[in-house]
Amino acid sequence: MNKTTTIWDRVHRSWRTILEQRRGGRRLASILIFVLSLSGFAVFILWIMGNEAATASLQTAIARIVSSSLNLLGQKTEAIGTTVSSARFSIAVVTACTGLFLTAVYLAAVLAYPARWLAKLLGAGIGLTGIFTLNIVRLVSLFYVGLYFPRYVDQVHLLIWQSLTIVFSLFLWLFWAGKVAHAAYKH
Amino acid sequence: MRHGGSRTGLRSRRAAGGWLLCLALAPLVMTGFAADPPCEKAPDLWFPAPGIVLSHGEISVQQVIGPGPAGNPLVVCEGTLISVITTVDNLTCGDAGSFDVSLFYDFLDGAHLIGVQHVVGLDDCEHIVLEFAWDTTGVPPGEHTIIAVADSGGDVDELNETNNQYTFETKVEVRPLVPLIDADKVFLDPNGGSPAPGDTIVYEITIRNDGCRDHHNNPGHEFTDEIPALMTYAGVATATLGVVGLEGNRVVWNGEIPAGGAVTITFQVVLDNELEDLETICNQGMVYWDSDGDDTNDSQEPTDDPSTAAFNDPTCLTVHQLPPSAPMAGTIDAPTLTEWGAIAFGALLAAAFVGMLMRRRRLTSGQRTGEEVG
Repeated sequence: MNKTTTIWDRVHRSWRTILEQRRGGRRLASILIFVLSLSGFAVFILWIMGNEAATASLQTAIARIVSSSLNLLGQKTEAIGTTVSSARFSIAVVTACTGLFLTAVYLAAVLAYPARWLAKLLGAGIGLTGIFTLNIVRLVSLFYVGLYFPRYVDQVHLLIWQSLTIVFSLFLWLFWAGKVAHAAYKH
Repeated sequence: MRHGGSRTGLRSRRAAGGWLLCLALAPLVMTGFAADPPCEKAPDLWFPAPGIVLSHGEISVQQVIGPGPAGNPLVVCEGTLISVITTVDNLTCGDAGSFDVSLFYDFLDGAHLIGVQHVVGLDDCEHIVLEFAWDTTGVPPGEHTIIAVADSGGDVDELNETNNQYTFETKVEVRPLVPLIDADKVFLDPNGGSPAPGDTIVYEITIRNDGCRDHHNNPGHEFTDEIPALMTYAGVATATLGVVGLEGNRVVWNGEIPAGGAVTITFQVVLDNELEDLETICNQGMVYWDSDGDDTNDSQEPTDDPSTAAFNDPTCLTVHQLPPSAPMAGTIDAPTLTEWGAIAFGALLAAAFVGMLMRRRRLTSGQRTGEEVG
């Protein structure tokens, strides 16, 4: 009886070790996927930045949305190409203004994190919508700062909005990973 | 013998007295010749500048004094008595005989003569301080220059005849006994920079009463200003004195201006959005005032743009419209993240990623332990 138990115990321990190794492998694989995804998105961003038509259409779309938002708020602006112009102040939407890098890093993290595909899709949706909306709010607010407090544009842009953007994107990912990805996994 | 002896004694006494007199006078004669050699030079009259130390350590004075506060110009009302003090000096060792010192304002003629003083004579290196009283009654309003002339009658033959004239540094501004009105008009763009279509512009008019009589609130408007085309009255007008308002399409003002005082009127207009680039809009206000003190506005004074050299010219502004497509000074590009921001975000997300993986490991191992225990 004791001998049998010992054999079963050994078998169990072996299975456990194998499983733990597999789980460790999964963690390693997740990190590897994260790095690979990042590299993939980096290549994608580089390709986009080299492709003027792609960047221009994205920039133009953002400029139009910002201009429309400002006009809704009572400003007299016009989106001319990638520039949001008014009689007194303008914002040029360059490639870096589109939030492309931020979105790419966020998507890489969602893609690499072990979760079901549905949860990953949901995470991507949350991130794309959230970051895009935040970027529009950021550009609209910077237009107002430039109009009424031009001295503080740099401070607001570099200190306040950059920090807010980083914290918000991190929060979005942590929220998704903690509430959506883990919940799905637990169930 | 007696007579002869007495004659001889008398002679010797006279001789001795003569010698004594010679001995006594010799030093006086010798020193007198040494200290005051005969002067071969002609005298030279001039007006030393104020502050120069003269003979006997005295200081030269050239001064214009009025009853009110000092200043340059010295501002007085017509009819005020002004005191003019001048110092005339003889530069050389030659004595000057009698001469006249005359004082004029603006021009050296009889019509502008303030007064003449006679000097009996001026010895070598001596000076004299003269005081003139100038009654400004009848003197035309405005700024005047006082000129002093030494030896105005040409009585003294001088070494240098070109330094007999002195122009006082302090000028005298005589103000009339009636109101005297002057007006300036400027524009301000509260946004700064050049006026642009749609901008609000503030016009500021300053009306001064430089006369010595208050300007009363007489029948009719004291000031009117037509608002030109392509501008709209913005409904904001102020005046430091009196009452300002809009009558039709013109800003009007009624009120008093005290003697020597001023009133500032401001009103705002909005520039038309349809104004084209480099379009110029000019306008000019008009002050209606009482020039003879009979409380009737009988004179007109157009406003002057003080930023130009021209006198009584309108105030003009030029609109600068920037093409909306052209990048302006106020254009910014605002990248979402800077390079360092991107690095920080990447690092934080990677840390969060590893942290969440570890948390997940703890959760799964907890689940497994639970299953095993169960």
